[in-house]
Amino acid sequence: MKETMQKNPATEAEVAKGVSRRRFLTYAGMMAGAGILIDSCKKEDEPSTLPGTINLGTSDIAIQNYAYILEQMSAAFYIEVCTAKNSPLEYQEMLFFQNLRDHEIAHREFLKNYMGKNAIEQLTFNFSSIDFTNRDKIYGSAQTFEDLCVAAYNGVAQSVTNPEFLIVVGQIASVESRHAAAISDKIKFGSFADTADSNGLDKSLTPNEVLASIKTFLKVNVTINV
Amino acid sequence: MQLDKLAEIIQQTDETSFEQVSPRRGILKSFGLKVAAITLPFMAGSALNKAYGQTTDNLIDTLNYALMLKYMQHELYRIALDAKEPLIPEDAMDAFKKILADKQGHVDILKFLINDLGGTVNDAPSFDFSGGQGKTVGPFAKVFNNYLSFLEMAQMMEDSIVRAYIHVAGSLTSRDTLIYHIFKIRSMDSRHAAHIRAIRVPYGVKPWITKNETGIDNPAVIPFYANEQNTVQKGINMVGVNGYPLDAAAVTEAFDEPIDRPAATDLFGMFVVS
Repeated sequence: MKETMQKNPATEAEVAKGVSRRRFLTYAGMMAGAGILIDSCKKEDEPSTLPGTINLGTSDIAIQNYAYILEQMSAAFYIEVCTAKNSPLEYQEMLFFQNLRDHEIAHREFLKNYMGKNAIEQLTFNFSSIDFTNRDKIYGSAQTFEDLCVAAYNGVAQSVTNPEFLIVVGQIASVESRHAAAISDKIKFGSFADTADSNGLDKSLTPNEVLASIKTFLKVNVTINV
Repeated sequence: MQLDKLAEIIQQTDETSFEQVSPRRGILKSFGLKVAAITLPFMAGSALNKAYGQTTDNLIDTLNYALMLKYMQHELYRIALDAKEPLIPEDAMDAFKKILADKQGHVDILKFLINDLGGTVNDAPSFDFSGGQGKTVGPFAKVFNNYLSFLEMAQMMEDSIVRAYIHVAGSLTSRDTLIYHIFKIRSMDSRHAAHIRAIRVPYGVKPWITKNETGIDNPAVIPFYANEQNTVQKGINMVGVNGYPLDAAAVTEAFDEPIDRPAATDLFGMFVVS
């Protein structure tokens, strides 16, 4: 154990009960809520208050926060596309990406308001591995992110218990699928349905698969039990 | 044991095993036991709401409704691709063949799911894409006259069936595998819709739906886009939400609105020969 790691004994007792130091989640009538555990990070040079892990927990609130992270990431990506210096994008292309950006911001802010006090904090992302001055990289990254979000929604939908919320998930997911198709068609017109399997079904990924895929863009570790 | 966990176990053991298609992992998947229905106290907002009002008969009926919409899509593209005088331009043929192939896959999956629940698959009705129920010439008389008219019908069909499927998912929440498949079907349909709209960009549409604009010069289309102008989601006014400069166009594009079954039955009735 590194000497700089701080442990708060009182916090540990709370953590053991699944209650976050920062948030206490409850459902009316439910026996157990999903807790968010925030562990102190071990890195030597970083302040001990920097969160290292966010455990989203289980149930619909976990899924809402999971979607919130994906929409935060998507919005942050498109904001960077739209504001990057030395962008290769022409005017019409920029309008297209601004449109995508605005949809993701709408999704993000909707989820934030929908969850109220159950929402995790606004995260920051690391897109340093993406060259925003290269047109192919911009479109390729956009396609990857959209296909990932589409697969994420397809892979988590069956875990949602509230039918009303499931419908909202579908409302958002449908637009993500439109995004994915539109970007694919920009790269190669006619490739909109290349993700289909032999039964015409679109791809799905489990939450763990998705979180592993986006690890490189997150600055915190995120786990979920769904 | 927590009540919601117990309810999950009951739901898992109550259903036919979908080992080969169920995506769920974990200890419950191989539980295997058939458990007699147990009455549990109603808990507001709990997992038990998943199963409320969704008997196996309800589920089969919902799937047959979803299948009817699929039959309709499939037939539209089949007719267009089979047209004696070529309706679809050569450079668009691959895309529509792909769309038709996907729809066939969707029909097959829905039939499988209905059979697996022990239900009877409904046969496809006859369709009249002019919108006249086979009795008269309806408001879409030109549907197969030329490519542009066909594209208009395809756009309207894809957008509204996507929206119908968004609502269908909410009626299937007691069965994980049904949600799983409906989402994956609808996801591909949303892609189809986006592509058809991409073809129609010169007519003033985007891959997503802006307000309730149809981009089609036929008033009979207007009811199929009803509610798409909605800017309030779950009580949250999305225009300028939290101070972000999002206008009505952007926020209506960001959400596809569901169409419930009564509304869909009303809209699509004109295409079913009775």
